[in-house]
Amino acid sequence: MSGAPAVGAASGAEAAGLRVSGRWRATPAHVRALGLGVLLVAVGVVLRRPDALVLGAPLLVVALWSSVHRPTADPELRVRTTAPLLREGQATAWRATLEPTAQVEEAGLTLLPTPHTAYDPGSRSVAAAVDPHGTEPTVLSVTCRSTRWGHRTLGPATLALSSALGGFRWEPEPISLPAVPTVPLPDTFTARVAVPHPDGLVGQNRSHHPGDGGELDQIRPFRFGDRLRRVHWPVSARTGQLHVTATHADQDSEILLLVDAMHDIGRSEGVDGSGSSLDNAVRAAGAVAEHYLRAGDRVGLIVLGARDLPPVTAAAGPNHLRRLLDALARTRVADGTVSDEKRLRSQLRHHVSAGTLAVILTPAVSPDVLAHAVGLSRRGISVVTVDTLPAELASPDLPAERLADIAATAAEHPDETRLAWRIRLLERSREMARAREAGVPIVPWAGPGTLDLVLRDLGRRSRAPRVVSR
Amino acid sequence: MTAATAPRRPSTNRLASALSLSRSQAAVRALLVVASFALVVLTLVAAPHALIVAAVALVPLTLWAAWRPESSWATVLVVGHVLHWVATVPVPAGAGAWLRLLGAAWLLLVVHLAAALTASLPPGAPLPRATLRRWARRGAVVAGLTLPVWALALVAGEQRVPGEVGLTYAAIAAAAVLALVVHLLARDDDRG
Repeated sequence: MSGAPAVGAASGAEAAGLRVSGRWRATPAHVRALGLGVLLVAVGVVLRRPDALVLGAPLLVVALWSSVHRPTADPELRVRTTAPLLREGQATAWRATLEPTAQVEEAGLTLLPTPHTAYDPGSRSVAAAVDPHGTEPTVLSVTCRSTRWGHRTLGPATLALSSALGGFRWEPEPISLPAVPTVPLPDTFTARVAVPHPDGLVGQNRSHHPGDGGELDQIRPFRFGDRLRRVHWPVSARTGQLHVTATHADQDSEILLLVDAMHDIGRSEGVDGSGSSLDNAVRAAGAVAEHYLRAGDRVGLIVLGARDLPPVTAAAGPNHLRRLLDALARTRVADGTVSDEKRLRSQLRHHVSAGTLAVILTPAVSPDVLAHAVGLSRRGISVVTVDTLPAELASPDLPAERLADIAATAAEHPDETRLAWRIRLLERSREMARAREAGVPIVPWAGPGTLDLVLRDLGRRSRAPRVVSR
Repeated sequence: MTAATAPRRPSTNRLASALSLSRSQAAVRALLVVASFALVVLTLVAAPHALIVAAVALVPLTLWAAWRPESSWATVLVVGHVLHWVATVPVPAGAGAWLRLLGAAWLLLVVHLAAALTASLPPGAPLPRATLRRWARRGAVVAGLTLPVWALALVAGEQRVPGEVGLTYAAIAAAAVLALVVHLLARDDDRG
């Protein structure tokens, strides 16, 4: 397996790993050899059965050999994962390091399977022969490649050390290490069109107002207060009057990402396979955040319907990108309970500053989210809705094998499920049409340039007079 | 890759992967099965009145013990072989019978060691070559150490030496146990 290198390296304290404790116990094989060996030799002696003596002799020798080499010291064994943070598709190693210990001869490691994780070796098991007289530590390592965003709890793992001829076994309790966060691998995204209402102090967006910046506005006659370095000497010499170069101000803007986690529709096969609606939303949110943060804008995040995930306040800078990706990695789909509905309603009452560009990523299955988009638009907020429903699920005639992606009971009631999905798609298209009529553009996620057309339209619309309700 | 273009894998590999076993684990378990079956056949050959029921019972027991060598069924298998032999084969008389007894002891040793080795390491992990070499070497040493005991029993059984043979065996066993106890106590003193 060729997992890409991990995002970061472990710090010194983490590199040492967690020390594991256990105790040596006699194995069933040792009890078998000792008990049967002694019994057969005794039977041979007492009952004068040389055949019993001969049959028991090798077992007794094995038992005596194991007893002579019985380990008495606890081994020093440390376990850790090599990378504290991953991106989708990257790999880390679940590693156990055994310091040289007398009488330890074999070591084995097995990890229980974890969803959305590919292992190398595929059996998730490794074994090593330990040199009892060696000086180098023995390392057992299983490579774990996280194929989907989220927090991966690798294992738990079962470790075992054996002494000579498998006589004694040192086996700690199953080991669980802290979950490794896997941040989404953002899709490729670029936007050539500026956001409609830049209103910050610094940034790369061209403001409608004149000021210090890099983009030429006009060459105009000199006014009191203009800086001398702004004087445009060729025009001044030609006209005989001082002229200066005026520029547009460079400003930043605020982008608010609203990720709809009320539903997760579709099959999630990780970074190498098909994506569900929540996969598309999370990866698209990561891509949009990365693009605008690199452009110097401020980006905030609200995951609608997610538990234990407070809103991320808008901020700028590369560290904020890490914060956003970590929050996206902790996204979990809502359970569909009443408390989730209440949480959604409270989240939809969030504050949105004037001039913010709200990007709503939703499969548009929940009418509440589309209604919220319309409400924001009526308040004068620039809103773009990105449809994250997988394209193959938007068809009313789903094949039987895809029905299970939308309902758990599809196997028992395929016809009813198909009919229900058709009705839901009809309602969805009606709600989307209403939202479009209310001025909320809805675009399917298509990577680079997804937002260009709608941002251009929003820019034009923002310069036109309009009535808003506040 | 379509089924038509996929390379053919040996049936043993397919079986091993279906059982989530590494190839080396499957090979050692196969050795356990072969040794166990050979011991059943050897017992049937050596016994004047074969106990077919016991032999038939040992076959599924062998397969189950090979599937779960870490369970107590491996012990049941070894005990079953011993009972089968002791119950059906008389005290050896003649070179052929003594050779069959030596073969049975070695096969029993193979069954025990194969079960112990496969239970020591994860089933899905390939067994390290160093481990296989180490276990093979030690198995050969134990098999070699069985020879003097076998020879002693052979001489005692064939020559009808004067004296109480049982006491001789008991004295040898007591001396061995005493030597082991002295060794273990001396080792503990060194560490303490």
